[in-house]
Amino acid sequence: MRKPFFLIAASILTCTNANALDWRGNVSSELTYFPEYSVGTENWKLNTSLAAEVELTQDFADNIRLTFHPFVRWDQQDDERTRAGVRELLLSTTGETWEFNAGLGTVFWGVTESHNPVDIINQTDSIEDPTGDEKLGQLMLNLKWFSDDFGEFEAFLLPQFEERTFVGENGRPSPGITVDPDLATFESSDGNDHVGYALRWANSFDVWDLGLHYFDGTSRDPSLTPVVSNTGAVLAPRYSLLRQAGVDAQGLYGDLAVKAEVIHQTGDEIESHAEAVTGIEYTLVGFLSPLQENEKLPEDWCTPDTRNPFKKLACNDRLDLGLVLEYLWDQRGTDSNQPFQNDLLAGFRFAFNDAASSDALFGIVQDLDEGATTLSLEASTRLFESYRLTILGQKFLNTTDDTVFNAFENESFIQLDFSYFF
Amino acid sequence: MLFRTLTLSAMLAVAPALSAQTPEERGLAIATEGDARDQGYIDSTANMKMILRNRAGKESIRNVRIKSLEVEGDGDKSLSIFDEPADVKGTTSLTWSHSQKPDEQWLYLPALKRVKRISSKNKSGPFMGSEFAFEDIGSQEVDKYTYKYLRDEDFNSAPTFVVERYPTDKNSGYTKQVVWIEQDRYLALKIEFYDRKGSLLKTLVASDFSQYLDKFWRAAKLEMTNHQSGKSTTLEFSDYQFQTGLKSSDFSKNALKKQR
Repeated sequence: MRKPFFLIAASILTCTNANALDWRGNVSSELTYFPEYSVGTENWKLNTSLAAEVELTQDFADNIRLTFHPFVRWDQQDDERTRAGVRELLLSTTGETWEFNAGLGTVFWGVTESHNPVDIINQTDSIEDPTGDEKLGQLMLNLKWFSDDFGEFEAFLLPQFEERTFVGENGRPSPGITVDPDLATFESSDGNDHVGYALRWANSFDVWDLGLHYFDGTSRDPSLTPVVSNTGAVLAPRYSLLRQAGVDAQGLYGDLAVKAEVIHQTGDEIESHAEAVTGIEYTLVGFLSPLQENEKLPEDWCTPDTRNPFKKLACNDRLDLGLVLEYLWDQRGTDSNQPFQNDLLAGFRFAFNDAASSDALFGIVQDLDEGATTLSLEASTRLFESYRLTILGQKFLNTTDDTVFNAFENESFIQLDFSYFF
Repeated sequence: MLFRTLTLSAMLAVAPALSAQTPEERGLAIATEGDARDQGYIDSTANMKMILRNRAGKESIRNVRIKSLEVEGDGDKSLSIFDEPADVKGTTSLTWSHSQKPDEQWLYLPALKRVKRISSKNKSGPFMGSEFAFEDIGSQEVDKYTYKYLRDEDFNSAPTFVVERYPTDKNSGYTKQVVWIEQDRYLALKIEFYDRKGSLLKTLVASDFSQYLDKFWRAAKLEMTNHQSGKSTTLEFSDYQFQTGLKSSDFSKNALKKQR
């Protein structure tokens, strides 16, 4: 059903000359190293992967736009990750106070940094990005109406459900037991064709941004049950139906942002419960500049061409430090099907404000119930104008007594990504 | 006719100085006149090429499209759409500057489809890694400084007023700025920026002015030199257009996601 639709879209994109075709995309190469062998799955420590994606936009007349965002990936170890697909194929029309979108689209809801419980429209493409930031396109009809006084109202009709992606039997990081998508079951007798809907209102009040939403449809987050199949023990995903109401709010007081996301979920198969993420982000702009401005230090102690690496860092008055502190909670406690039930995140975000737009984010997530600690690092810098080098690492510690993370004991990894952007 | 208007208004600004005007009053009068002459542009668009140079002279380039909307009785609204470097292509920032309260600012990150409201308190931070701070490229409202007229002086053989101005915002990275304002057209030709220690930090020189709609003067080139780091940034503006029919709704949070 969807395939001919692409072809039509592609031919429209290539033969219109009225407005120029616009694009952004990248080709990326990725190298991942796991210092330990995995438990259970096939043994390997090193993986390479290549990928490409492009987002094409074409305007027709003043207020009609078509967006097409295909991607392709090849993975050395994980056959499930070798694939091609479409993240967006969306037709949009806009008026002065309204907007209508139809097709495969992506929307983001949320304000917090560690995890976004309110962000329920799109499915997580967890095989693409172990941090969970990548999303799959969602088939939707979306109508938006906005006014200066009353904010923004949105309604979504979601005619098809996308299942979550999981690493294959050779994929890592893996919980040691493979999720078999072929064994997926649904509470709805319509399965993937169950029609969901969502409503959202968002508005700003002085320094506060507030959003409210209601969602009725298939849970994006399946429960996983171990079953024995002819290939051994695997996990079978179960997609329940649920209703979710939620709030997201952010207040900006100068360099301090206060953030909260709260949801309540209920359904026949899932326990009625609340989840929340709340915290602050405080930015220290040029936080080392007092060292330069200090009159007690010799006038010329910071020379711009110093080769001393300590001085070079200490004299960098352009370096900003963002401090992130968030608390993650799930009323179901350790019975939750998601890992953040009573966890604390501390994050340190460095922005170098240099010509290469270098940045680095260190994060520590501590599970307060079961003791697991996750350390993460994500740092990137621009090379040769159009390339970006990113280093990503995750280290799982104190996993022994943790029901979710004990399977990840050997799954700490470090990843280098070198991408060309166009 | 044009000549007469210009001389007359220049004389009007100078004439009160001959009576009992303090240097502070005269400085403010010059800034107010300069601001008044740029009123009524309604909206404008331009392409901005930014050339960053390090001490060794190595260059790196950014291309940004800028759209501005005049707001009566308040600061302007502006959109910056990044085209280059390619890894930030499509990133868009929206600023609503205000004369009485802090500016409001949002950033759209296309890869995440996420609109982030960001702090506008970060005045002194570098804009896109350049030698321009956010406060140097923001809308220059008269209320954002206090003033003091220093002297008349020729700059590049053009008669100028030399005026000191002091940022009223305590988050500014500067203690003072010295501005050379051309007497004929009330254009800032050169600005010296003094850091929090009171030392000369940067010099900005504006050149290649063109007039649009017989009224609005815009520089095609701004050259900022950082004397302390040895780095410099050049901004080259092209394809200036005025009164293009942009609306307030083009500068809304919702429109932020739709720019290209």
